[in-house]
Amino acid sequence: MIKPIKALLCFMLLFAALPVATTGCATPKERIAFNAVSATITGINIGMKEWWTYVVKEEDRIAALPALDRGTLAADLLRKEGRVMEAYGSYQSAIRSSGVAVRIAKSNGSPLPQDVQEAVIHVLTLIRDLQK
Amino acid sequence: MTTTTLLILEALIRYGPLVGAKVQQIIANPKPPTEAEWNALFAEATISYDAGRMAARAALEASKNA
Repeated sequence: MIKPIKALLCFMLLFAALPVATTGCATPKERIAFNAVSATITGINIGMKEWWTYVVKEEDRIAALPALDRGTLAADLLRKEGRVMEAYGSYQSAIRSSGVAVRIAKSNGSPLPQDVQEAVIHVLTLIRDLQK
Repeated sequence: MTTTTLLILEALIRYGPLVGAKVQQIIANPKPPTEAEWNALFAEATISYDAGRMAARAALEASKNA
């Protein structure tokens, strides 16, 4: 089975191209920009939802193990969560602090600001790697 | 079938309904987004880690009880 997160990355590429592919000349640039930013935010939200589901299922799986086996696995899960929490926090700060910049950049047809792009890629890569 | 084709197929199966909804939204609303729409969009990026985790726990418990 292919990792869902890879499918998600693929989906985001398809999704980001949609506004351009499905709209005619009548669609204002700002609407296209809005849909592209929306694709990014939706993509991260889907990825995080899968991560949270993975975390709670892991918690249940670990809780069902004999007491002696739980410690390391529980600590490992906490460490993983700490890393994702930090990356997700950075993404949120980047998108919040540059909300206006994101809007202007996309409306001008420019890519997302560098810090937002990096934060998005970091979150998605991390949640993909940590679920292995 | 190549890996890319498989990925695209899986993406369509998993996220197809979302894509469909988005296409409808784009076709239905070709106007420039309002300030409120932009604010609502950025608000979607503010779901806290703990809130998301709690929602996932609630969904899992609900599925166990169903």
